[in-house]
Amino acid sequence: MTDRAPQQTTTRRLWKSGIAIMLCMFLVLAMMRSEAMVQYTMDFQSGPVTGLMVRSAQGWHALMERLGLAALSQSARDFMDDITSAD
Amino acid sequence: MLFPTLEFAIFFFVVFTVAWAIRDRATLHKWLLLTASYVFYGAWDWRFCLLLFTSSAINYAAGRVIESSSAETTRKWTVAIAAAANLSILGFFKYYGFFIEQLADGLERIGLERDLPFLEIILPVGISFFTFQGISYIVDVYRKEIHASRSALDVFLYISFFPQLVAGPIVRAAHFMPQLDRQPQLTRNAFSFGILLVLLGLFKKMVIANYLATLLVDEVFFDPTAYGRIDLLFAVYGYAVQIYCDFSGYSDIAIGIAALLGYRFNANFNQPYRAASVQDFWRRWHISLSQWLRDYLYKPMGGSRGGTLRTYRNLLVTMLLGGLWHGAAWTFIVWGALHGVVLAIERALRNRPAVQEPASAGAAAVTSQVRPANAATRIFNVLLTFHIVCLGWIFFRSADIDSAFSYLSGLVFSTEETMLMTPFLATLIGLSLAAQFTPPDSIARAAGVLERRSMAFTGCILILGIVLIELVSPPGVAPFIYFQF
Repeated sequence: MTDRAPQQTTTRRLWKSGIAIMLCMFLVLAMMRSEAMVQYTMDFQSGPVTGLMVRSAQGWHALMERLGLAALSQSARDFMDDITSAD
Repeated sequence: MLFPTLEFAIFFFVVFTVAWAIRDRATLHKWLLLTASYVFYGAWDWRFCLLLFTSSAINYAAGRVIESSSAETTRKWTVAIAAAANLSILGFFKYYGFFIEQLADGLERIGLERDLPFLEIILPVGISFFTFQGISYIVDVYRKEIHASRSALDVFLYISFFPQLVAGPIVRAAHFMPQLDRQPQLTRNAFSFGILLVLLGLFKKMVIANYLATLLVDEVFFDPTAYGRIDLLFAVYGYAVQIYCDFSGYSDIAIGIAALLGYRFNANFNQPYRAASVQDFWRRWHISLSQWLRDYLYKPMGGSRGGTLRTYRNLLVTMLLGGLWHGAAWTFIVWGALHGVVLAIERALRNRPAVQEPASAGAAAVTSQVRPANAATRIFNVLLTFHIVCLGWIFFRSADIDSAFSYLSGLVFSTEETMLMTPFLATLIGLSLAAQFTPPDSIARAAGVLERRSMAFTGCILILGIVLIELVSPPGVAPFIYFQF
């Protein structure tokens, strides 16, 4: 029982840290994939919420463009294209 | 639902969050994992869930009957019927079309052409993997190596646990089911190990395998006659790297996410291209399948106990069926046969009596002991093994036997210009092959280092790794090669 208590605490601490890390990861992905998010929301069938989702995604993408993150992703892709196609 | 997608990331986030929140309630925890596994599997096609349920139910019921019966005849018949039921499901979905096609061709050749019942059958994802897990469970119960579980929930979860469900590793009940009896715990080492494996697996699949597939391998194998010798040679090296990174990448992610949920799977790959013989290769490549074939096919056929010729026959039959397990096509059968024949040749060479210096005049002592190889011999053996394996990959990857022979012919006679090979691809192939010769426990050691750092540092490693993979990987997510098996 005494051995299990610290392990339970460790598990709980790691569980909470894991959730926090994954949430940060989703935020970073949302920042990097803002353009893809716009496309993704546009693919939904039209409904009452779809318009709101598309507008939110477009707003988020516009913000990322203003911050320069969308351009950073594109630059990295262009850089990789240059490398992969070099003779 | 593919591992390297946002859908899976969200799915895993929900499972991880809820599973650890209810870890104290064992039954509820298992129900959650089982439900998640069926949701994961049903994302391909919900009808597949019925098949998975049927397969699990057959194996659970057979396990109970075998365990509770004291009559050897009943036990034997039950295991035989249950194995036949498992194989019938696999056979129908995977091999029906192939055998009907061969039968129709055969009848046509002898002038007995008939309209045979061709069916459009969708191959359920991962059927070969969960069928083999089911068979291993009932055979292990029959052999009294494990007890049949009283809990249907445990058996269903063992067969359908989502990390390994669609492309392995083929987990043994003796290894996994005792873990279901304990409350799962998350240790710092398992957490670091899991995160590193997920990152490594994503990098292997999203960056290395996808670049090689899209820039080189797919184009060359689509029409080998259009390419020169250099492209053909590097495309097969590229495929060797691609299939390794694709499949071992999947296994890494599967083992990693299982570790993050508190479960441990054994390694499925161990740097296979550093193998110095084909036998050694099979100890390092798809380890869970080679062990399955050894324990449930090769050994029951007699293994190496029935004399030399019988051993060779057993090796050949095992590898032929191993080839057929990968798919219903002659290319896989030839691939299996090639490995079987080389394994038999290696065995013959190993057992060849070596003439020693005579101890006295007129006396020639013989020994079958294996002589230690020097460095040059070892390098030669590694290169030879790698090229034998690559020869097999040409058949494995080609659309049909004719394409495979066109490929082989092009490797020798093609006069086309080199069109696809670039320094980037050569570097990618070279570095990936060089990585086979790094210390085998690198990830475990890196996890040990990460374990001593703060959680914030671990989090940064994961996020930076994901950002890097996202930035450098080609667009789109190709399905894993082993999903089709």
